[in-house]
Amino acid sequence: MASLSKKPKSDILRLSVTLCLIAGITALLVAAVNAVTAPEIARRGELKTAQSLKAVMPEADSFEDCGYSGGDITSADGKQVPIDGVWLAKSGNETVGCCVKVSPKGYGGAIEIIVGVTGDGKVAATQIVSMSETSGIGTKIQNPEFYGQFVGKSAGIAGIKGGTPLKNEVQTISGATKSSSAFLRGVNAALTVAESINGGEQK
Amino acid sequence: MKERVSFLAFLKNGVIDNNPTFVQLLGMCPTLATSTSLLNALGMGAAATFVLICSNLVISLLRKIIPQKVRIAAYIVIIAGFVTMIDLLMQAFVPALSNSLGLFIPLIVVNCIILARAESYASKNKPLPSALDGLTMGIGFTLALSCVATVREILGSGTILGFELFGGVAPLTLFALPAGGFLVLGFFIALVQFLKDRKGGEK
Repeated sequence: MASLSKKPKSDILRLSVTLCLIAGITALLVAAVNAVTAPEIARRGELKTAQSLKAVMPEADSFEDCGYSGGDITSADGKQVPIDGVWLAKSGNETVGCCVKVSPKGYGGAIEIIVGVTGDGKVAATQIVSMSETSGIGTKIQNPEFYGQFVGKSAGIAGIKGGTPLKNEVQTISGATKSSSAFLRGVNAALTVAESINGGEQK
Repeated sequence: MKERVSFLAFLKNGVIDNNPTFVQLLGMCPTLATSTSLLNALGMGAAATFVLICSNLVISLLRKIIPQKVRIAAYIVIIAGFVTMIDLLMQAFVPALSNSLGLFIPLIVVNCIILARAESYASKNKPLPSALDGLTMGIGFTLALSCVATVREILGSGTILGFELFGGVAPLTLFALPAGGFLVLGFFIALVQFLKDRKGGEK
């Protein structure tokens, strides 16, 4: 009788100890791999950001993180555009413009874009850092015919579906309206942020 | 000599007779999601194969220690450990591939091929055959994925391994989309069944 009542108890103990051991050893191994890969992953991330910054502002030779804390920008159509970072682009000691990293929500999640803005508030260049748009459809925002339209435009860019774009208008991609509108929202938000930064610099 | 014969038997089982994708119809979600390009398919196949070999080996080594009642929990912990490791390693050393596969690498944890092999093979067999089973099932999965991906990439994007094939002729975007994935997969399953049936009839 004594052994009968004892058995389930020891069984549960055995189950939990074995499972804990397996989980513990697995956790240790994962931690070891993480220790090896974490610096490399961080370095790659920084390198990628640095490359993208350089790509949108080729004339700058250094970038200074301004520690932006203004929060999300609400776009003209009422959607929130998160701002991930703002950098002042400097050539020597002179500020030539700024770079804003935005992540508007596209069709398949956040599209991370770095926008270079010149000192007079115009788009210098854009660079998509990461996105998960539909392959072959939403990914068309990577085509120069689309993102090239933004160069030289200033805050409040409007998107049109057809016809010839006017001075501050761009043509969205038919069939990929969500992705291309998200890109447009991102660029506009970046321009809004840049306006406040550039304005503050001049004062 | 004997070992070689048995390896071939394993290979035939994993690639043809019991192909995880075309015959067992396991792992449909990653098959459809990552077969948009051949490079993605190969990356996904390699990652899944690595996890299959390691988890089969470890589960087989521990098959007498893991209590029957908590075996699934133990398997998932072990599989998740390996998946996290390969995820971190890919992020650190092949970031481009890791970016394009995105969420589907962590999702290998719940890939039914891996759990199915752990439950139906590794938990009942010795370590070496289990590792072999993992390797050949992984090869079968990779080959199946590559077949679907080759057709989808050529038809859906007009490229193969990223190289332009038809000189700017608009591709059939349908094949890059999930619907096209189902179509191609369906035709491949039909083809494999047809070949198997014909072989069976000749006996």
